[in-house]
Amino acid sequence: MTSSAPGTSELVVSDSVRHAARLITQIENGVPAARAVLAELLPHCGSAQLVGITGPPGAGKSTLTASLIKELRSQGRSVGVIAVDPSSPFSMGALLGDRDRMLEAASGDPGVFIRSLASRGVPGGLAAAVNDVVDVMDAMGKDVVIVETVGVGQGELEIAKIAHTVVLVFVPGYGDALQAMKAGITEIADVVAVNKGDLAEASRAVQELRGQDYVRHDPTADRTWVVPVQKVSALRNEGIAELVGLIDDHYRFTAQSAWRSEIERNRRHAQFMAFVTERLRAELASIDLDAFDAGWLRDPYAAAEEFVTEIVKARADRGAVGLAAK
Amino acid sequence: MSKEHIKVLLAKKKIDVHGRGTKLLARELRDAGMEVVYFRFGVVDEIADAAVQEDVDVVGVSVMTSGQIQIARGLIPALKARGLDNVLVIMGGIIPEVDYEPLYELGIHRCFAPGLPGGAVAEYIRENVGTATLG
Amino acid sequence: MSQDVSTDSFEARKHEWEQRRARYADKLRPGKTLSGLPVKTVYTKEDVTDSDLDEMPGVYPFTRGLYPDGYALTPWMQQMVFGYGTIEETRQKMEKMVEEGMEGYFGHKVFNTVYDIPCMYGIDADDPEAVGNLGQCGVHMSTGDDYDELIRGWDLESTNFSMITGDNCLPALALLAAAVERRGEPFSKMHGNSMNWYPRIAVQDVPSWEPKWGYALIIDLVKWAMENAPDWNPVNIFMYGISEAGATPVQELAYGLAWGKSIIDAGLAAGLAPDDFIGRLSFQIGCTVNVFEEVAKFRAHRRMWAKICKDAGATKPSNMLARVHVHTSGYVLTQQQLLNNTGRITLQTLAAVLGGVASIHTCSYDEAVGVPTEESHRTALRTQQILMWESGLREVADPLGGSYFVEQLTDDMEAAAWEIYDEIEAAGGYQRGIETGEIKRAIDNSSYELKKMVNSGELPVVGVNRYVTDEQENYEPFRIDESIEEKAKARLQDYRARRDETAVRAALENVRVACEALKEGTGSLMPALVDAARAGATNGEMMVPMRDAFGWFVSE
Repeated sequence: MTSSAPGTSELVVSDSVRHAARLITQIENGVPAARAVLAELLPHCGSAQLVGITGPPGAGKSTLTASLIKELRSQGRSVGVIAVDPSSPFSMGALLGDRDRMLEAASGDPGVFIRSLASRGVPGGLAAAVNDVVDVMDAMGKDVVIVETVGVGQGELEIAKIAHTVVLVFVPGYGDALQAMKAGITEIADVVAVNKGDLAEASRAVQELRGQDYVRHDPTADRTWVVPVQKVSALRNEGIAELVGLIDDHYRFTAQSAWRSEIERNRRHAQFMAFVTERLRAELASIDLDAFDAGWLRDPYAAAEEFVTEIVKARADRGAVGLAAK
Repeated sequence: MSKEHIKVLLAKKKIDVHGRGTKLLARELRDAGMEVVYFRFGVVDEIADAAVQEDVDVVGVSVMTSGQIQIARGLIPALKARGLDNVLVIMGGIIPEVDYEPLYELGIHRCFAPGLPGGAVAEYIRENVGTATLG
Repeated sequence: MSQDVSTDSFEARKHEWEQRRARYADKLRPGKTLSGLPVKTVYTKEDVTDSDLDEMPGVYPFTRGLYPDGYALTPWMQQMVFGYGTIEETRQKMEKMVEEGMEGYFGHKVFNTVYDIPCMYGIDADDPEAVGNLGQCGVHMSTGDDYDELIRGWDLESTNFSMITGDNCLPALALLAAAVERRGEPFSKMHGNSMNWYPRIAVQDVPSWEPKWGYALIIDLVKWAMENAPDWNPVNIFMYGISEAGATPVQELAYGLAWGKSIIDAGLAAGLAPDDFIGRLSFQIGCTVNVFEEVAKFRAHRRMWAKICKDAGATKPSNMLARVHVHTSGYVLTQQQLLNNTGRITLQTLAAVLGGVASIHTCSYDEAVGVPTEESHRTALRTQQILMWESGLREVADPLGGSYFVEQLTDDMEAAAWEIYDEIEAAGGYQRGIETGEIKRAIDNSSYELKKMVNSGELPVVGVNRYVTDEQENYEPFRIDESIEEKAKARLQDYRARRDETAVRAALENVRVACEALKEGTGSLMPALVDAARAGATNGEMMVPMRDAFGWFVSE
């Protein structure tokens, strides 16, 4: 592995936007040199509060994120934002419009760092990249890192799981939105924000959702978090301070048990898996199968099983825990 | 020079109602495979701040209601001051041809007439991205 | 085959027509309008309905025009948009235009004056965001001095002043009213039009008031005008912005009428009586080079608006008139082979005149390069005057009325527009469309489809995708000297130095209180703005408390 230019990690830790931004590009492009820098950043990570914002298209996520930025800044907390938009499956290009809606909240403020990412359609790859970008912003010293994604598809669920607190946003009155969202709430939401709260349907939706008594079970202790439902108007800046309060409540709640460290453990696990997968894929690509096992063409399944068993056995033989020991 | 993922910041004046051309170009560049950050600006420092945070390869500025010379005069130093010395900077919109040379002297790499197919802009970007310098 | 066609019936002639074209008819490419409506190669009496043929100009539903004799009594108003630099440059331009014969109904003076972007947005000359924009594409007027100079020597009763403002619509009218008062004349002498264009943010990417408060501000101005300046037109529906953003002519109709309806709704909700305000609404509409589609659009527009007003409770026919100012489309002009634009502008003007509109601005051929020169601006005005005096176009009202094609196209466009209009109304109306962004998305999609057709050559544009040359033209447009920025700042400083700061602060504090009262529904804002203008507050200063109160919103 090539080493990066000396000093990159120090520059990132000292909040150099230029170096952090370039490092993020390397992460997006899977440049191996980025790994070394990320490893150097790790000791500086762990203090950022991670908030996921997700919801269907048109829910006003960017406008809500803009309101959150304003509220957090008014409390003196620095903010990093990772805004993910889908890439076109046809051209692989992307229109990244979220930043534009955050303009008024962030302009000229060195305490805010916004980065738009295109999903690039790599399953799992995006979640891995976002995880690493979170570390970059964490190491830069951002107090809160917000990850904003469109909540459709498995990839986005993965991204949501990066956060300490997942805020699910939706707008009432769009046909089946409420029904569709109910599934999402049980799966990922820690806090629900009903946006465009000035619409008449909003109060009804809030009531209906509150009536459902959604809870999340602490995976590490015998206790539950009641998922709060907050009516907000991102446009009018209403309910935003309350929403931040609920996000903070949940963050504190997770710290009262091993829940918080479980989330962080999951992030590191995901990073480990992503890296191993990527490395193995690269190694496998260079294997000459004919030299390895002449029988692979007749029975690829048996040959593959034998290959993996050998690797696991090699680790077991020298006392390490094998992949199969999960 | 060609690059797998080209990222473009397309900026228009926040207070200018003429947004059609910028939005069309944003879509056309997306369809040409580029990642386009669409963005409105009030002062040129906002363009430079966005360009550095997004680490873009290209900065495109739409000018529909004049001010191109003042924008270029402020933008190029603002980009350089942030260490973005090899970003490609293009302009388009209602800009008289006679202003092209003065703009090139200020550091703008290329100006485009309104209404051109976005493919022409994409082609120029692909050929020149990564090779540009801001002097 | 028959020998003597003159004695044959329509059916026989049609049969013969079919036979004559049978060999190639399959090969003809089916035509369509810019809006995508099908167009046949031939129209006959089978395409018109009795109701089409029963209409008269000047009679409900006004498809054939607002006036019984069209332009015979008085021609359309020549309302050239202009404005640049400070008020001094613009005054010179006003006098020049009058000299050039620009006039409105019955020889009245008409000044269709555009403000610069900083004024529209509501920032004064010393704001950093104003750099590069001052006096560039409009006049910079922000102080009482500016407005005194604007109306110096005007006969208020025979001068029609259209103020092309933006978010500063209310402060601008307040500044004008204060200037009129300083001259010792009553507000009631004011004649003109506020471009009360807040709802344009449904289609344009500029920040403006939160939708709910935007409508509250429109109605506040309507009420003030009703009470103080009954001849002032307080609202203009800016369909031009819709088409220039990329809407098809049918979308322009549908969204524009839904916009108008949203203002009617807001007025009625505020307790206004239909006949008291609906007749004061007017339109600015775009016009492309597609002559017949545009003519049909103007005809359908009058008919549809009349129906909307009637349904909303207007009872007097004069309150059902769609008074239309046409601004020829700037988007269709090309920077390539600049002079070709004179041909386009002539066709656009022709369509507007055949469509029977009340007032026209013709773009200058060099607007694709920059601000028009004196010569190009005059040529644009002369284009109108040639149509007015040389072409014979104004002798006959609705000369295309009864044309099989135009009547059918009018009906088709009306039907297609009602379909979109009904959908918007069912989904909560135009205001809801601003909030959800759906109108913008639909228009952006149309705009992109159109652009793809130009890129592929399917939609020919001479000089762009046909008959292309690559010679440089090096056209030198009109330049506004950068020194305008220092001049504007100096004027502002000088004005501020001469006023009573304490009185200004107090008046602005009252504006802040009045903003809250407007939001609470317990008071109005315009009187406080007029007071602030009297005290010496500037355009930009009045906008500060307004922006704090009414939010700042971009339609997604």
